[in-house]
Amino acid sequence: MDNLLEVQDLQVSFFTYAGEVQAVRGVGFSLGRGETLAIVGESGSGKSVTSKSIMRLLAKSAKIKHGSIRFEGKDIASLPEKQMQDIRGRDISMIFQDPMTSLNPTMTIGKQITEVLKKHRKLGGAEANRRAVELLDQVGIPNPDKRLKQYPHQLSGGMRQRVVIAIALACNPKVLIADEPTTALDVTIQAQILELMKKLQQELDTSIVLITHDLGVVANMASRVAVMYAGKIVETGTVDEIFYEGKHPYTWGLLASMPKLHEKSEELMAIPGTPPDLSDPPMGCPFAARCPYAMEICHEYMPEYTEHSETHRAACWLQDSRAPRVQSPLAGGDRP
Amino acid sequence: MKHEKGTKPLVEVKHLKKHFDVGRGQILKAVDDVSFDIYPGETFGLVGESGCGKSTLGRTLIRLYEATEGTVSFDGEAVHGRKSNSERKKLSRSIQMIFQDPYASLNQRMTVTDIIAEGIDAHGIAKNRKERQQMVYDLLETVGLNRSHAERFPHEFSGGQRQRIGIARALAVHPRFVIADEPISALDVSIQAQVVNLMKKLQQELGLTYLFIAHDLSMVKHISDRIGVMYLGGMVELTSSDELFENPLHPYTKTLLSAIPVPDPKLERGRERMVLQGDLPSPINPPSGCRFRTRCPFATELCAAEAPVWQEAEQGHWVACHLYDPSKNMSLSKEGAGA
Repeated sequence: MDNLLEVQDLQVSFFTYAGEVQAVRGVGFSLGRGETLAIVGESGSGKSVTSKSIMRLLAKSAKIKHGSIRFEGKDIASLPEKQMQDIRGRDISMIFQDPMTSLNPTMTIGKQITEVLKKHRKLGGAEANRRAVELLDQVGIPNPDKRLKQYPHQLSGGMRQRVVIAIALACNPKVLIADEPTTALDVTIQAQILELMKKLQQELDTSIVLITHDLGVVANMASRVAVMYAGKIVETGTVDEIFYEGKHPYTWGLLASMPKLHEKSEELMAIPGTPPDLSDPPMGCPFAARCPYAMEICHEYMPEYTEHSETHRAACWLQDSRAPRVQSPLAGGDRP
Repeated sequence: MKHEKGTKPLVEVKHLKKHFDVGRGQILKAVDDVSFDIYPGETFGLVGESGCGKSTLGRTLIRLYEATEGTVSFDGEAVHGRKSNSERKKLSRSIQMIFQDPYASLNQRMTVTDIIAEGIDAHGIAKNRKERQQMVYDLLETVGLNRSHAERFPHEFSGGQRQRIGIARALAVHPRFVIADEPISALDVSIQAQVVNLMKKLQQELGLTYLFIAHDLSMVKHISDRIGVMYLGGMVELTSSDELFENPLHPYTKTLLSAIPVPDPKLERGRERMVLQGDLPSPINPPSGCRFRTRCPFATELCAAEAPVWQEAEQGHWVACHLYDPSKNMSLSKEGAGA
């Protein structure tokens, strides 16, 4: 069995006073050993809900309605909480967006790291401390002995994110879910953290699910990419396939709305409008309302995936043989 | 839009300082001796990491903060110091601000009309209610919203739409100079492009001058004519946006540029990064001499002893670094760093 993690037709809804909000509407992907899969999309596209479903950390109002999440062949979507606790933090762990709020302000750094080691590794106090020092050293925190006794507020944002990474990696997890791990950090600190994550991934052979909206970070980190929109994966492929041979108009729009550092252009190609309301999702393709190429059928039926290679598929009616041929606005011939 | 040679600057900032007393006899030097000009019709970008003082600088320019030392003049007139009521009003009509967080910067108990018309009322711009309402309708259309939005409340809008309301509010009093403090960083990528395009369009139509404060260098480059880079309360480099990206001089600017991940996987794979060591030092107790020396790969003893002078290294390209001071005779090689 090659895939470590396999998600199939995952559907997650929030049940609110205003009715059911279908945050994730049939998402499927797989994650191989040692690879980095980036899930990109805007806020509300369901990328964080997907990652929280894998961790089984969904809010009480949310429910996995359908689908399976197989970790090493075992379906963890329906696992009892007690058994999930053995997996969470040991086999699958998570780095959160905001290092200011994901650490407990009333506990020392040392206590927060050893907590994991004591629970999952059954280490004793002294041994856990020793391992915690090693971990802090591994994530590049100077004077680890001193830092162990400090509280989160005594550390800078970048340092705190390093601590969060140390906690996540304490048990050598097989899968690491990083939900916008650098969004709250400055660019120079972001560069440090991304380098660190790559280094640790190679050392520990961890698979990473990287959730982000920053396509620059994706280009830097990912081997494969899944583009999410309105609770669905609209396109998935290797990082090169998505950036250079993207097939879905939403992928094109995302790439075109980023300013290029090395080119001067007068106007950015903005995607007009806003994402649909998922308490009443559109019948057809969710992007149709904002898509410049939308046809009649797009508003009525959701397109199936078209395979472009073993790794590359997109859900768009333009790929249908009866649809008119459309050129990506990015294909200006300036790309190698 | 490029300014002609010999044009008078619209905003002149001279040796501006803003210090905060943080108690226990400690002083936080958020902005420490910054000088630059902004010319009519241009977009001046201000970049730097959190805590570098860029927002404090913006707020001091519009006198949301009193300056500790130094002067800011707008169209030849001092912004700070003793002012009569009418002088103050005139100034606050000319300079407006757009804030970062479109969720926190709009009063959620006021309708869109009342939010936008607050400035119109304060300055008595509209003759009667009908004219006031018409002005609001026009402003809504200018920023890409429509009449039907006028009687709604902020919570009924998305982030991008709220930012449009914030822009309409700033434009209501016909300002000449708009300070935009991270106007797009709370928005999604596809929405960011919408707001930036709108700001560019308005600038052309209304002849506005912008101070665009942001930490996202690629967006700043896209919108700005000239860019100033700040580090720990001081400005370290200032030049045209093309020059800054093609020929950055200050080591901090170089690391900042190399840290930005580019949305191009092939380029990313071949890129050598200059990764900065360590964290930002505390602005309460900044390093002696050059502020950047603790993290600078080229730092020498001179950098610790003496603060570099803010000077024009090339035509229109200002930098504060000993490496570019002809009187200091230093070289950019790492080998020379130990000398």
